[in-house]
Amino acid sequence: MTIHNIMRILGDSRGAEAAEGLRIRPISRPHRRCVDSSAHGLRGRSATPVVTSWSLGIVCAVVFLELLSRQLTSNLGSLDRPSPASSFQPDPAAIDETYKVHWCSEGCATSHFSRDGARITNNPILNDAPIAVVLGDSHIEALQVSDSEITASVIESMARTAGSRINVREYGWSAASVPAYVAIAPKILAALNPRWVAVVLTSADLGSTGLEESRYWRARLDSNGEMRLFEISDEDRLSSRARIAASAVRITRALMRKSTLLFVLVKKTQEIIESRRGPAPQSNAKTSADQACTQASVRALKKAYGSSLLIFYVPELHVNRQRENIPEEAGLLTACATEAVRCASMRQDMMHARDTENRMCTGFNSTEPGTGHLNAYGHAVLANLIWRTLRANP
Amino acid sequence: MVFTSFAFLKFFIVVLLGLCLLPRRDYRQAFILAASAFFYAYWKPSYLLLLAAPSLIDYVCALRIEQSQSGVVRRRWLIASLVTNLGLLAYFKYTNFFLESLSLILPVRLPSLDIVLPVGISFFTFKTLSYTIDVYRGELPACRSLWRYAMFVTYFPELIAGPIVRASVFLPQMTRSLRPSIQRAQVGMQLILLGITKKLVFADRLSLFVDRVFADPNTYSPSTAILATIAYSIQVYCDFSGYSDMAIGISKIIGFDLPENFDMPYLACSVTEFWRRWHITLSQWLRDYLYISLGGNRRGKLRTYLNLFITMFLAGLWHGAGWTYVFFGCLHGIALVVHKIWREFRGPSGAPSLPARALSWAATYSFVCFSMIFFRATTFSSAWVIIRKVFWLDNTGVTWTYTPLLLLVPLLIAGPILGSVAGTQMGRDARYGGPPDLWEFLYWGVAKRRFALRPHRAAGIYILLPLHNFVGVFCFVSWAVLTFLFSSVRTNPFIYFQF
Repeated sequence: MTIHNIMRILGDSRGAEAAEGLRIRPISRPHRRCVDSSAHGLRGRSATPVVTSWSLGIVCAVVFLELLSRQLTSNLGSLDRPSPASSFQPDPAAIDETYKVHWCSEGCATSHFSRDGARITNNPILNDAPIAVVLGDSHIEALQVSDSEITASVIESMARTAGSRINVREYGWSAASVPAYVAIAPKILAALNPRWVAVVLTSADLGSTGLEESRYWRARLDSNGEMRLFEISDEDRLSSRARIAASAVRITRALMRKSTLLFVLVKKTQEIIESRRGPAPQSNAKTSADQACTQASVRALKKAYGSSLLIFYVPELHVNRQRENIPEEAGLLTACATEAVRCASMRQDMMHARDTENRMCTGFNSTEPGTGHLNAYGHAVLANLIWRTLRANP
Repeated sequence: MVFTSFAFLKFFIVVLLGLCLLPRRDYRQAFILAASAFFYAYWKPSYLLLLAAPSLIDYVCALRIEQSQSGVVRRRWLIASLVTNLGLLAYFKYTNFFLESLSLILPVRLPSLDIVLPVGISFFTFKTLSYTIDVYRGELPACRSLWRYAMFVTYFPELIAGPIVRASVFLPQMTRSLRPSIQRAQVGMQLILLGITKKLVFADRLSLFVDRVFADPNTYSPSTAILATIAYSIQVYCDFSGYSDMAIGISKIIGFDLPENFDMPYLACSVTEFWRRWHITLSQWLRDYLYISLGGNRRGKLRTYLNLFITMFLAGLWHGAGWTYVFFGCLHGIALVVHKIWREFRGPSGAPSLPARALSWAATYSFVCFSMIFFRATTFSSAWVIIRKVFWLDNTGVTWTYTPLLLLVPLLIAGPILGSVAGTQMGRDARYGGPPDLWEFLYWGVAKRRFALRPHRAAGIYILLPLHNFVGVFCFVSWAVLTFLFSSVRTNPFIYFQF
């Protein structure tokens, strides 16, 4: 079949010049298979077979890509994951894996979760041992690291090596913040009766940003400077997330639950749109209002968890030593001292790792070192810090 | 307006609609001229004058050269053209560079001028220069139509960053209908997608790694510096050849064929071969209009070596107004001279053995990577830091084994191998007639096009998917979606835009 024949088949009579321009080699041998035989079949007929081929090709490509994407990543939209909304119910008996997430964006890891959303630690559960809890945002959800590398798992290992019987349950939710941790405190205390609760905070959790822009639960300060919680409904989340009509979002979400390919395509589109908007403004606790919010956050956490509370701060520590001193971190430590809460920042440990061991606690091989989530080494450093703090202040 | 932007997508759709709807070829040519002017003015409208004025001068000069019988007069018109083009290039690109360089040796610091470098000036200057020189040499008749000449100069797919198209390649194609066809679109779309893949999946992903390491090389370990150097060699290739592929593909859809710019350069087994495969249109331009004008190899060995060195020195300077670029050019000039001496010393010999070829390839690629440290580094001091790391003289720093690089390398190796096998099959095919069996199932055909006007080779090979059948559509759709999914979220400007 020559280029001229293809043009005839496709109904283009102006082919000669274009064919000259392309100089695509004519295929003329008689023993052609597949490509040529199918094209021969088209000769002299309508363009319907071509349209059929195209349709079939597109459909098969979509099916292939759907299967491929299911192998490469988990459809987080389709998972019925517990969130710190009002329906959240921690359960000490929930120790078996209920669902797993395969994540290949920052690093590559598979994480397993129990029915109530706690990370499986890969350590044996000790019967009748006391429970400890680690709470946090996506750093603690830790989809980027495998089960045996998460903070809870490392603490369990260290505790058991030191002869201490303890089961650590780790709950993390992306974009969760202090209001959510405060909101779920009664359920955590009632269901788990934890020996200690470690709340891991970042700069996004401090100041007014942490109260007013977090997910699931938000808070405002009342006239007494106390935190007042309110839950974010699905409708609220939808309207603040996109300008698209809510109904279109609902349909897309429903489709995303069924198709992993659509899920990853939508996520990618969102990433591109967000990158065009530029970086989000950095939280800054310089103002007195922000400091009041941080103070109120620590006070609310203390009130919610009592003496079992420990607070740990994960700073952004860049590889090239920029932004070494963050004001909100100092504000948090001051607030902790005022409220008599056991509190520690990872900064010194992270700097030690960077400056003496040439290792970064955040970032992965596929991303820039010093940015993004805690890596396996970072989780080990955090676990070590928690364990040291507990031993120093039992 | 870069090819990977939504603005360009909208622009190109309008261009295609215009070409489809306009009834006459003259109208379509005028429409492309207007679209090209808009494309350039979109960046900075006032600089459209900068494009128009030298074009007009070159147009007049070429006509005068052709009309005149006197050698002196012809030479004067040629000099007028050269002074205009090179003067503008020197002013816009090199003024501040020379002022800064003079400040280094003078006791006073000379102030920098507020000059905005017009995008693509190095490319369209070389394009117009080749036209007047060709007319002067009698190798090309002067273009009578101002509109056609203006279209040649401003043609938007290759205006900003090449390939550097010569008038002798472009103007004869003006007789074409310029009406998009399905066949040309099939080829063009694949080339555009290939270019987008190279740019967004390879180059922009690697730039995250390369930019960080080169911005602060002291922070990173020797192994990271080595990986970053290799990554940059891949980034700059994918970035530039991706742009060229897109330019060729866009042009293919419109109706013009542009010359190839790359021919698997990292498979080169010598620096000489590397420059035959890398930025082919520039290499050929330098050879035809600079090296040969300097005397080429006709004035003895020493003069040949000097000419080679001067050519590469100026090639380095062409790439950028900075001493690191000049040093890059000098390194390649020395390497070309050394290779020429080696070839003369060794004398004619048969095909080298496989180990010898492997050794030559490794040495060539290592040299190219080393030279690219100077191409990428902004100062000699940062280049020196990288070199110290690369040669393990400073083994401190954070190790960053950038995994996307390790994942992309097999694809990058597979590409040239596929291309080489396809090329070999094409050669066999040409002898026996008919399609290569190996490709028959998957591939519709291999488009091979020669653009050489003189006895030199500049051929490009593309393996084309059969977009009229199931397999081709399946592969194309999968490829497009995967490119979107694996593309970098943050896009960087094309590296060669700065030149």
